Amino acid sequence: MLIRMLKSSFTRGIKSKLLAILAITFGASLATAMLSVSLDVGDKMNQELKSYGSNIVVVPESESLPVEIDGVDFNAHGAKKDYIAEEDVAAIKVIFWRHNIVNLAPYLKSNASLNGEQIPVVGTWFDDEIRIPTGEKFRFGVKEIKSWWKVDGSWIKDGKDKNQAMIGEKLADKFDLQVGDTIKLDFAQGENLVSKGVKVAGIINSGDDAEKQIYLPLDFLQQAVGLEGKVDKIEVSALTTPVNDLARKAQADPEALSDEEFETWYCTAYVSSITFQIEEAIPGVVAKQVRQISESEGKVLNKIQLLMLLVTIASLISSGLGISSIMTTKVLERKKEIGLLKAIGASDFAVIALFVIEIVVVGIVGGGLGYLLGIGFAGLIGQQVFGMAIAVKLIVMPFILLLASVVALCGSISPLRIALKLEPAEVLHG
Amino acid sequence: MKKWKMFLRMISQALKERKSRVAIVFFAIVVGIGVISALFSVYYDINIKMSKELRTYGANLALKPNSGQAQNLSLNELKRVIAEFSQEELVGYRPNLYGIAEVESQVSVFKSNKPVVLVGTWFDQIGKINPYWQIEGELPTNHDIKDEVVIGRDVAEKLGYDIGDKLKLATENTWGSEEFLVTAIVETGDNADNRIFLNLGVAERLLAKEGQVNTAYLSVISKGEDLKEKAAKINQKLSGVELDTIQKIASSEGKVLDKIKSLMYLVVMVILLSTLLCVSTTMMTIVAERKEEIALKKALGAENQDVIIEFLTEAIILGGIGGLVGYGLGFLGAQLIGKSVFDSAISFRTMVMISSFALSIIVSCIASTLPVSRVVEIDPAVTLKGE
Repeated sequence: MLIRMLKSSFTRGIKSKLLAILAITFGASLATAMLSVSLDVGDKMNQELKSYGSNIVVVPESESLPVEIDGVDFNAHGAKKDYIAEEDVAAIKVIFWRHNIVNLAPYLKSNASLNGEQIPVVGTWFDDEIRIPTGEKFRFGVKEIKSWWKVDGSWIKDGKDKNQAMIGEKLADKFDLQVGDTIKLDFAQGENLVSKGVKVAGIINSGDDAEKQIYLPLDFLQQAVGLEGKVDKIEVSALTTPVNDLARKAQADPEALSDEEFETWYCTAYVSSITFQIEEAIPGVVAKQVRQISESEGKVLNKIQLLMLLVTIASLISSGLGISSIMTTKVLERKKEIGLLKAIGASDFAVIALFVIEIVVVGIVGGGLGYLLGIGFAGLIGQQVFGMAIAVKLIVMPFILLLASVVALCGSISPLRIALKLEPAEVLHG
Repeated sequence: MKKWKMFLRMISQALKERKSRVAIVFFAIVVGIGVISALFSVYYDINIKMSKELRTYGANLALKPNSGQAQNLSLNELKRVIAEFSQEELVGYRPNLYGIAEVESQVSVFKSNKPVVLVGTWFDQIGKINPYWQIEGELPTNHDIKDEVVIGRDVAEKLGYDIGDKLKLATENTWGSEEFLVTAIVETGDNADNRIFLNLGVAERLLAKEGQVNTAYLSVISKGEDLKEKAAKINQKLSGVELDTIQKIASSEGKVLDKIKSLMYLVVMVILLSTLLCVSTTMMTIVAERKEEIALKKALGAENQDVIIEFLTEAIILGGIGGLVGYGLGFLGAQLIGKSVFDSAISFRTMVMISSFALSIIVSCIASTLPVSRVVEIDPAVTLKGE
């Protein structure tokens, strides 16, 4: 009997239910979209914040202090320098948090003379295909790390030992150089002078010291100055988790952690655990977090996540009230029906059972439709803002179905109570 | 006149008699408009608020002597540039004077002297320009402190100094060495780690460069505008100095701000759409419920137009009051968001108030006229018969 009543209620009364289902769909789609966006916004914004550059630098362990002002080295000549082996660089991509290593670039600094003037030169990867120890290949280099560089001309691709160069804008102005020109650089290799001609591939406008430097492919510079297979700095851009108390404790003194804490810390992508793992992977180096980037990143991410959380709560309130108010009116509308049911002998319980099942079905149908629509909204937001889809977490779906039916029920409680309290005669009389 | 009175009575009666329905609609409008106006208030403030938050990345402008001319710039020139910025947009500025000093290394057995980069600066500005520095100990924030230094983490480790130690410094311009007290150690991850910092006045004396600085870093709230244009304008006014954006920070800031703004925009739009649809479906059901009432009115001789006008007036009253109350709640909600996320108030905008008020009225009018216009075409007799 109950089933037959329900059936007829959905077949004959479907028209009047459409509006309720529609309202629940909109409400649920809003909740779905906001929850999905809010759950994924941390990851997405973290990617965006990578445009501020690398958050970790790796330098050789060294006794000496660099004496450098504005990119010019004032250390006495012949001072002993320490290096990192180039073959170790790729080891960074095989640490525990390898998937969080977005990009990296090694550097080798030296001097060369151009038209008799000493100029700082830097060897690096621009946009190079690198094979890591596992055999996979990745494209690494400054092109992605220094996203703020504006290059006139073109980036050097797979530099290796090509005799090409990218020069700073200030140098280009000073020596009146254009893209395509060939310049002659003299490198000191021990006692000898080695002279090499390089072609200017691009001119760098960076707003920092790089404008006064010449950038060369790493292998080329290593050969020119006789430092094959050596680099003196690595910049790493890694996706990290904002710092919390545990990370702060670990940073102050990793020894002070208990075994369990150490494991949690090691298996979370804090910048400090990534630097720790890099130091483990490459012997004789110090991996430091660039606090300007890593600290600020955490702060900004926390702000954005908090903002999205509050916006999501606001939208949940809005969709919750939307759903419950439509249900309230829908139940109120059926006062007469309830009166009739009671008049022909239905118990309160039977009426409640009938309505609850009906409402839950409406809630789930609306919630399901809303979920699909919401995924569409979330995808739209992801594509428009971040150029990629928002990752839809499956956990959102049961939550939305539950939310839709529970809220729909909550909205119906008070009108049901009112309707049940009324005498059938009173209601039917009109 | 009489007609007016009648009309008013009908409206007030309609609102009074149907308390529960009116309450539901009113509630739906208030909450819907509340959420929408709260989010719009936040949205219009997001640029300035986030741009303030992004100052945690530190300086975004650097003032340097014009290349080719003097090596240094004077403090007066710095002050002239500072005067170009308003109090609100300038977070802070920190002048730097560089030099090289010889410091005795404490670690090696033979006490040797090592060259270290010396930086004269104002320590009270470090919190504003370099908020990301990790500082152990206490910075000598008073410009007049003459006998204290702050050292970088690497200096501390490689030369063997700690807080409270005495550190002897010698430059080309000092007779013998002078003794300072190490009061703080900074850890930054950049080249500040291998530098020694002291008050600008002291550095000027040690390096014999009175009233001069090498560079100054400025942290300016951009509000998403182009800092480059602003810097170019200032450069035109002043000669001998060059104000440049620190592209690494400034250009990334622009990108990130754009992302956040467009994210908020789409989110607010989705919420606006869904909320409005929710509110209007509720209104539509409530109006559709009044079929019999409309039929009765028509049976008593009301024209379709009269019915529509009556319903519209009801909708305007409900929408207007609901919109105002909703805006009030929304503004409070916006303050809540502002306080908890940005730690500052969200500014009042007349535009948001007017548009949420208008939106509220428009939506309730559309939502009530749609079902009414469908219902007015009915035959009173059929409806009243109770079919």
